[in-house]
Amino acid sequence: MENTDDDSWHPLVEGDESRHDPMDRAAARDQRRFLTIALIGLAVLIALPFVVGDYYVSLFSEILIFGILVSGVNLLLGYTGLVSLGHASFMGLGAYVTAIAASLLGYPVWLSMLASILISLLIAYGVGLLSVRTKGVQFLLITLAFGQMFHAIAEKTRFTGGDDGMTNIPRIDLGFIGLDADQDRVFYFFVLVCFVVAMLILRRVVESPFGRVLVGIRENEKRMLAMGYTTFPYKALAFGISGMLAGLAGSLWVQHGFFVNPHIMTWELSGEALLMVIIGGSQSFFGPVLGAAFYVLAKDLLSEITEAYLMFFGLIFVLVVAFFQGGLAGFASRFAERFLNRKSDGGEDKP
Amino acid sequence: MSQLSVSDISKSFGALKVIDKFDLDLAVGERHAVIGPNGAGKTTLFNMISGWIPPDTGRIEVEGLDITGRSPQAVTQAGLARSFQKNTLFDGLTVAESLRLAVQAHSPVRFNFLQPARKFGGLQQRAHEIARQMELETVFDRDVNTLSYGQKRQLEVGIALACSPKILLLDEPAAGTSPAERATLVRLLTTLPDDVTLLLVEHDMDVVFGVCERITVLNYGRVVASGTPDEIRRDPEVRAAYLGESAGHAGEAGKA
Ligand SMILES: Nc1ncnc2c1ncn2[C@@H]1O[C@H](COP(=O)(O)OP(=O)(O)O)[C@@H](O)[C@H]1O
Ligand SMILES: [Mg+2]
Repeated sequence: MENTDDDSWHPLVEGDESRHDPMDRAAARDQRRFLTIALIGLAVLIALPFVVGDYYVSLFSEILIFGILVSGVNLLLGYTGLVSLGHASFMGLGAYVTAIAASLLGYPVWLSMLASILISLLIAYGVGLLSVRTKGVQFLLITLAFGQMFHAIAEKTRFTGGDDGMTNIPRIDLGFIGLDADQDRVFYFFVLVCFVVAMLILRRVVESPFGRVLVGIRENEKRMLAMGYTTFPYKALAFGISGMLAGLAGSLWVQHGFFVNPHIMTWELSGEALLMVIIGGSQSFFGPVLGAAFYVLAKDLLSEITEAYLMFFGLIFVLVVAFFQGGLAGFASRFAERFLNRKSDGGEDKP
Repeated sequence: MSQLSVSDISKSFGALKVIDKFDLDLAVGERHAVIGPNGAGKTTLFNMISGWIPPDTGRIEVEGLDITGRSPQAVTQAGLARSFQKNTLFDGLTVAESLRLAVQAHSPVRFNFLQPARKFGGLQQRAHEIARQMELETVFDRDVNTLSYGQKRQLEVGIALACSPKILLLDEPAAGTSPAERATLVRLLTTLPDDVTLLLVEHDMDVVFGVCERITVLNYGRVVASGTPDEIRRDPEVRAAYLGESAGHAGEAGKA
């Protein structure tokens, strides 16, 4: 851990909100932007089930679940600059914990979900401690190896049905507010609540001093060390938090489909999560969610037309990387900026 | 007690002896320069003192605390901050964000992961103060990769300064800067708080003579001379080894 005993040697800078002398304009602008997008997005997501059919409600539950997963992945990829190929295994872990606790052991689903979240946080933090001391390809391979290990365990475990997995997993019991989550529309709103909570927590994390350290590590870890940061616990905790979100996504996923099998833990899903992040835009907070939406919807559309949807996906990915700097979010923000600038006609002061 | 004490450190890369039995003692508040031609071992010396390279032999102490072989982050937390000869900056961040990170590194809030960083106005304020000192105020909110080379050098120093070190190690801070920027640097270094100890590697003799009260001359990893600026200027061995024919006004000496 960091050498904290010497902190006394300089007068320190504590929370003092009243004296914002040199205003942090960038942060204020970013906050305004976040709130605008969040509120518009939330309104759309709330209105959605009232205007689209059952099939799409279910598809949007899927998008939100993947949205949680890929936002967590982006804490590593976009914010910290670490490429993990092991995140599907944390999603799988969360899924299996909920399945085992709720279906085999008979615990209430809400408790099983909490268990999923906690266990995936702890295990991801542990894996993080072991892997974040490495970088680049080595890090990628270690996370891949861990993922494959979890996958193999899931395949070989008898009491969870081995390769066949488990079925008839219950959804959350919302009887206490008179709702039945087995209805897809109700379940969608439950997923939406989980999504909003997850995004709020993640937002807090990336805005915190801790989150700024992650960005510093991405930009130049050497200088962070020279400044006095012991970087590896930060990276390990980032890994833990992102694994926790994957675990929550997994717990929702198994309720969504009422079943789980080891396929959810394959590295292909980890790779797809990375694709979603990059297509959506890793430099933006909501970008990965856009990527998840694009991915799920396009996959749905393409797979109706052709078996080879992954081929088209590969093509789209290459096009996005080559021509859309910053992914869909980058494109949208440039578009919005141009649009707003024309409308306000220089009314907004640009720094 | 001396602020920084380096005793008998040596370093070889393979057969090449880069630093040979180097000794240095800095009193609190001392302004000390290490000069010498390229390849003399100055940067290697800094790397050893700041924890990036372990010395083969010898001992390094900060205020009596043995830091030999400790990690760079531990050395910095012990109160010694450095800048780099080759810019080591955050290209994708703004000047403000870069400086804030440095300030935050020495604040307990660095571990906080659930409160918005902007609530800690002190970080921003201190960062702004450093930017003003380094004359980076006008580019405070600009991305680092849009700065001029000279401004990047100023930021390189500013980041080290923002760590509020007791001992500051600067590796050629004036390299590639304009005369005006050099003047700013000299002004800044001469107005550092009295209790900050400075170890400076610099080829620009106006900066060295303008800031430092003691100078150590290094050549091929060995100390050739050590003394006040006047003594160094007069030392025949130094003139021969380093200052060359333009002794006394050797601003360009040693530049690659
Ligand atoms: N990591 C290294 N491996 C091998 N040789 C090195 C390494 N770092 C520096 N050197 C060599 O050590 C000598 C001193 O280099 P350096 O300390 O950078 O000198 P200065 O900063 O005085 O110009 C040079 O000959 C350089 O090539
Ligand atoms: Mg050097």
